[in-house]
Amino acid sequence: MLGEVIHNLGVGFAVALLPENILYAFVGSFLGTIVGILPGLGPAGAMAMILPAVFTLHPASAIIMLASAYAGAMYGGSTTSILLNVPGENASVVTCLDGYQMALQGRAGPALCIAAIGSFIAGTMGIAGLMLFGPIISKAALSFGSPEYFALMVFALSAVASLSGDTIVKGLLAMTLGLMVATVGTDMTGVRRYCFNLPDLLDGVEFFAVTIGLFAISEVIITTAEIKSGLRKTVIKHKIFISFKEFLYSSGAIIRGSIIGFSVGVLPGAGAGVASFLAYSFETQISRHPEKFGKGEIKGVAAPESANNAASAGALIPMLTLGVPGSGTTAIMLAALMGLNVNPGPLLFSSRPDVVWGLIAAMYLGNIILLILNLPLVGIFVRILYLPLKYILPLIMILAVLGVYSANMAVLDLVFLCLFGLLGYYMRRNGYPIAPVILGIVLGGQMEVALRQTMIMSQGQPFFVFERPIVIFFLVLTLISIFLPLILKHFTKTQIEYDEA
Amino acid sequence: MTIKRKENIMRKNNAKVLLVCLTAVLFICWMGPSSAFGWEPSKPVEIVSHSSAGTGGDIFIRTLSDIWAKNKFIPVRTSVQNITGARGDKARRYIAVKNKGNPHYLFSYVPSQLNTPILDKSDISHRSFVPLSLMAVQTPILVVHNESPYKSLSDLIEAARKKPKQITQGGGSYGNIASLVGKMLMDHAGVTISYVPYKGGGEATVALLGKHIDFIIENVQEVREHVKAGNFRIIAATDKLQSFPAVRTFKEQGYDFKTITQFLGLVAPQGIPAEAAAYYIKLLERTRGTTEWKSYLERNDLAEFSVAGDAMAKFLDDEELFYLRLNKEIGLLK
Amino acid sequence: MFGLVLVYYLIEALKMTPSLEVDIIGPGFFPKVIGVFGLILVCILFLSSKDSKKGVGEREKKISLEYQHLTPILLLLIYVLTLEKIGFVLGTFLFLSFNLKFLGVEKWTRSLIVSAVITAVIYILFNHVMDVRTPESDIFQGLMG
Repeated sequence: MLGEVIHNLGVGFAVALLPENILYAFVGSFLGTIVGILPGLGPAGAMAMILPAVFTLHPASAIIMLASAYAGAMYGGSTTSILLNVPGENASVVTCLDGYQMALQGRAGPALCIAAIGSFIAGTMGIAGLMLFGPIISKAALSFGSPEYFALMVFALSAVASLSGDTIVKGLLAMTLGLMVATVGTDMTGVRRYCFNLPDLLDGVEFFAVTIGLFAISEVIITTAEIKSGLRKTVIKHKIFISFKEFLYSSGAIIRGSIIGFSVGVLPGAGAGVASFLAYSFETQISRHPEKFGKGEIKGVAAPESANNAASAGALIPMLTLGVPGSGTTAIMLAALMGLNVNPGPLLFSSRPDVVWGLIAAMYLGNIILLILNLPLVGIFVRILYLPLKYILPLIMILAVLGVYSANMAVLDLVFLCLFGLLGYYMRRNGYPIAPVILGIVLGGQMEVALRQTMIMSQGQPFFVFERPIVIFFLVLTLISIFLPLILKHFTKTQIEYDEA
Repeated sequence: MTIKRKENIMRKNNAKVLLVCLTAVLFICWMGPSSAFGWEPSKPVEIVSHSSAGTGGDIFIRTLSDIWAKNKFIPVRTSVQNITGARGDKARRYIAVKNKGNPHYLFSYVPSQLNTPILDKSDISHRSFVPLSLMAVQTPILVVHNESPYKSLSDLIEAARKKPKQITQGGGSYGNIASLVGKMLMDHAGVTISYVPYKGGGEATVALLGKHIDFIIENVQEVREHVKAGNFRIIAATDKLQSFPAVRTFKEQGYDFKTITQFLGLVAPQGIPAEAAAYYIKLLERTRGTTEWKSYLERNDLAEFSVAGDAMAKFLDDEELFYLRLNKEIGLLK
Repeated sequence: MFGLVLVYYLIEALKMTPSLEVDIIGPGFFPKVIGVFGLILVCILFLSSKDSKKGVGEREKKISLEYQHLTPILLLLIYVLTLEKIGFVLGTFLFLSFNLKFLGVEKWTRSLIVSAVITAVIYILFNHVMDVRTPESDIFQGLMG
């Protein structure tokens, strides 16, 4: 079995290492990174852009370029999250939390470095997982039906606790807001909710408008206030590279993030966004100093970044083994494959091994290329922070507008951008954490859908869900995640009291 | 006059001439090639599908796009865009409202796109589009997991009779064709089946793979790979299938009811010039004759269907009435 | 204040009826749950209002709200609302100019020139290199072809 894998990999590499393919990988990574930097244009946008050009190439080359663009875009997204508090795509939202704080403290360099390194390690691990366990995992992933998804979402929501720090109530309220926003739109049975006769709202509130508004625009307001009050005068000197000690410190987070990310990414429908939240939340819960998170804790960058790259690798599994797209980006890859007359489905591994293994080898390659490309770029990116704020702030706003507009061409979205910017400012001034809102939006829709589907399937029998082991597993996890911090706190408190005695 | 002055004047004249020429050229370019050959697309053409990549309607337009490119039927590049969301409303609005009158946008039209506006009481009906041509008809089939105990339609119906509401059908948003066929079957056989809506047919397929639902009703192209791989079993079809001749039709198994024509067609936004519409209709006519088209039909168990222009408009009008009645009958529309 | 929003939300939720017979939980269920949950939280918050300054970040504590701080956002709002009418190029140019002036660029000319350059760069980059559509007004459509 292993011998077969190595043989296939060899074939794959033979394809991937062809000079023109290496070139495509480079170009793909580079373009992907640039597009990923732009808010709102994430991996899906990058790939959609490259798609037309790709059809003239051999399928393997085409996939290689697309895959590199995908990975590149994931990285680009984290760059803006760290430097400017502008989430590049929904997987990068969590990175903003600690990444931006690190940038404010002059540690943007290490943040970017750990993002790159974490992404590389996670991506490589993810692909190894894909390669070795792909078909087996996909079978296991099939056992995830609506009840299991619901349980997973409930578990993910418990992550809100970790995002709220001390103010659980306010955090929950923020999450409620997110959930409310998630219900706007056409629900799964076609009923319109809270649409107020606005056609632009029929598909819900545009996610990026809310995200970028809450994070980036509120940041603009706050920074403006700082400038005008004279609080933000000196330009902080930034470290460029990461120290080995910091890397070692984060390595655990990277590994854990990768595992969590990969597991979540494999499930069709649950993607990098959920993965990054879970990884972050997990880190806060097992950490001895949870209060450091949200204030520039490097693990808070390492974990989600690793998770989202591992999730991307995981998301390829359902696509390659079943022909089912796990997310918007894999759907585009699917479209590309079909356009190249490669039919993804359960028979893909056997019918087109050159494409599959070429893709796998290419992703390894792509990861390496990205690392090589991006580490030096860190120095350049950090320079951005030296630019005078008065130029950067309007630029951020324009980029935000362009990014959000490119999603739906709707001015309403842009209005929401402003409104949520103001809301974000209001929230921050009054101690409401904004991350839970995003959590609510991301999870709300899916959770409700899963719940209702489960109800239909079970027709109201209450014990239906409890017969399913995975559901119980997640419910138990949820309980643990809620009570564990409390228990730990209790123990450390008694410890302190004991010490003081 | 000094020589310098003469030169200056000449230079100024030259400049003026150049400027005039430049303006003329720009003007001509701006006017666009309003060629004598009749209308032709001058910018890249975008074909939109309301469903995601891999679904029947999507494969249809990708095939068209490929055929046109391979045979050089069309002078510009064509690209496919998937605009999912709000049960197709987003895509319909994108074409009919945002790109009204723009002949460089096309839209793949399937029955759900006709029925959903009826159900939603939307202002965008099929009249918001210029009908071009209906090209093929899909054959919905009823598919169960290979490991399920149902070998024929009667098995399934019996099970539904014994356990009302516990047999589940999965599919995309409620109101789409699969759900309608399911409802008609249900009513005809006198049983109650629970419909579990998913985001799209693809998700329902995955759910079936995981055995979370009992059956789905889908088009052949979307599940054929799984049938070939042995994961799924087809137990009924609305019509005889070329690739799976052993499958019995609904009628053969004793369940005879009028099924809906699952057409695949192309439309354009309202307001496009008549020559543009004529161009596309002709283009589609040419496509029908190609070998690639024929093999596409064969590969995907599609039947040839040829209705264009005004005939298509009439067909859609009739279908709309049919849907209205059907929706009322089965209780979707009050 | 948030409580009022929640009450409205709940009222709307109560109006929702399911369209699917077998749907045990209609479209109104989830919103109702959220609404109730939210109201409970608001009450909790209200009752323990002594801690209302909890959770505010370091930076946020220091700044005091003055209306002039909201100028960039106000400009953003105007920019966004007029974008489709006056076109991307003109809108961005004006937006940038005003913002730069407000944020501290002393000379008007400097602000205008920089705005023009940045606007041009962005326009070319997005429209031609990357095929991203920018909001164009009708006048501009004609001019730009």
